[in-house]
Amino acid sequence: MITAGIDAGMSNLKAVIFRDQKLLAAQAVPAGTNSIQETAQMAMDLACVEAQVEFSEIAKVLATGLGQAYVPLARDQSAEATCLARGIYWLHPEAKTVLDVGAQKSLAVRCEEGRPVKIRANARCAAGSGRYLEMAAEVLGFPIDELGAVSFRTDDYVELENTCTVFAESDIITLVHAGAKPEAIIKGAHRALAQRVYTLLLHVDWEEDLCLAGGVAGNVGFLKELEALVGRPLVRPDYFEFTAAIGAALVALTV
Amino acid sequence: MPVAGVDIGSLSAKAVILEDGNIAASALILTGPDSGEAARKVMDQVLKAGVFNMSDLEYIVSTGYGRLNVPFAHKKITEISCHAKGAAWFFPEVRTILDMGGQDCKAIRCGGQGKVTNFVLNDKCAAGTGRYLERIARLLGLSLEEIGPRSLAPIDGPLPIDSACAVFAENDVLHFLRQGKHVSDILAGAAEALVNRIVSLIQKVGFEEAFSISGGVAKNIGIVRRLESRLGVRARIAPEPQLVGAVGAALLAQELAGRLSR
Repeated sequence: MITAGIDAGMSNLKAVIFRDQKLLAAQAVPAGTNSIQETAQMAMDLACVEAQVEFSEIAKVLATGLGQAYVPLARDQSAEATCLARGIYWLHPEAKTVLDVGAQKSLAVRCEEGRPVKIRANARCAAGSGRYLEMAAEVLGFPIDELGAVSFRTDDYVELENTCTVFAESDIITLVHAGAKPEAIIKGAHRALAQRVYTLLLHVDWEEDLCLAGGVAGNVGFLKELEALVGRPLVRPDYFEFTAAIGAALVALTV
Repeated sequence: MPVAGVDIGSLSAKAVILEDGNIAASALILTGPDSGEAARKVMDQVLKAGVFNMSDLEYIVSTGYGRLNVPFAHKKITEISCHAKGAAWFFPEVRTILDMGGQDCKAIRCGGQGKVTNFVLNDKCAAGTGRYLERIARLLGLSLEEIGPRSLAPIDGPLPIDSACAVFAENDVLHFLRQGKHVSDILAGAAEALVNRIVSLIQKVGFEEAFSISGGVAKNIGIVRRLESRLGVRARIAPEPQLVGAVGAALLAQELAGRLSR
């Protein structure tokens, strides 16, 4: 059976296609200013081309993510924690915990054989999501994709005292005027975000293997800070940013 | 002899000179990046306005988040005490005070003569402070003066805007703009979101009449009217609500000067 999973994230829309347990295609389209519906259609069209299937051949499409309610081409929906647990089990069967850090929320899930057993989310405050790093990148004029590399240019940290993204933005402007190194501010921002998502891991009593998912896991500077806090190696599987979409396609197989 | 109160807030710096129990001069400027410089500037301005010299002033009290950067102040006192003192001078019957500025929000309970009995403060999160409305106004290309009246005239009704996070609230605003929703409906929704936060702060401190609002937000009619209707009371607002903290600081300066001369 051919199934598809859509993860309607706030920064990227991800679509994957599976034939039974085999991944055929994985595509991501930036959310931009189009509607979630249009962007989801675009990601799905690209995935169909990559998988060399017609959309009509897909038996079931299941959506997850913050925008899941706005994807009419998916008939079913499933909670993100369920999809993350299922997806990470397929990507890395030894996973006991998955931490998803996205553009607008972060979610820690402890799982057993693809099922979530303990969940902790932050979706209320931008300071616990990738949005916080986006702010720092915008203010300091670095492309978001280069933040990780930028943070490796220095060993210094500038501590950001305010948690709130809005107040931290003002602090960064003041720090730059006072002569602080932008690279060191970015390092401080990575550490601050790592500390906040680490508390999510503590709440779910994380166990190894600890896997990362979501777009922010692509930032090596952030990963380094998180690894230092966790004190154990983190696992970032191939297709980590598609974890929830993969889980959605696999859940679709069983509904 | 005249005394002065200086209130260095995150957005604006205020100074008041009190002579024989009356306001002899006042000044308000933007704080800018250097709060020490703002303190000097606002002091120069208030002295000029009242035709005083620095040496005429018997005692100076500084308050506000930049109060430690006022080298010429004889004493630094927290804004909680100063706001309560100032509000009770304008309205002796006041028991609950909301002071909301650009970067924080305080609910203060006081007894007679502005003696503080309890307070709750939010200075950790921009949602629930004046900054929330500032960001939304900027996003909509409107001035702070415009948003209050417009929020009171929704067309299809207030839209749901996030009250927990100022950043996510901006996403909601952009989303509704893209859908072609009315600006006044967005503003009404944002005002209600902020008022929800304020009301929970006031409930935490324990509400009792009479009620006074100070700080920049007191000039936003959309917030004031909504708070009045939620709390079921009229709010007492000083003629220059942003000066209340500086007035309180000057009143405390007067008391301290009196103690010195005795």
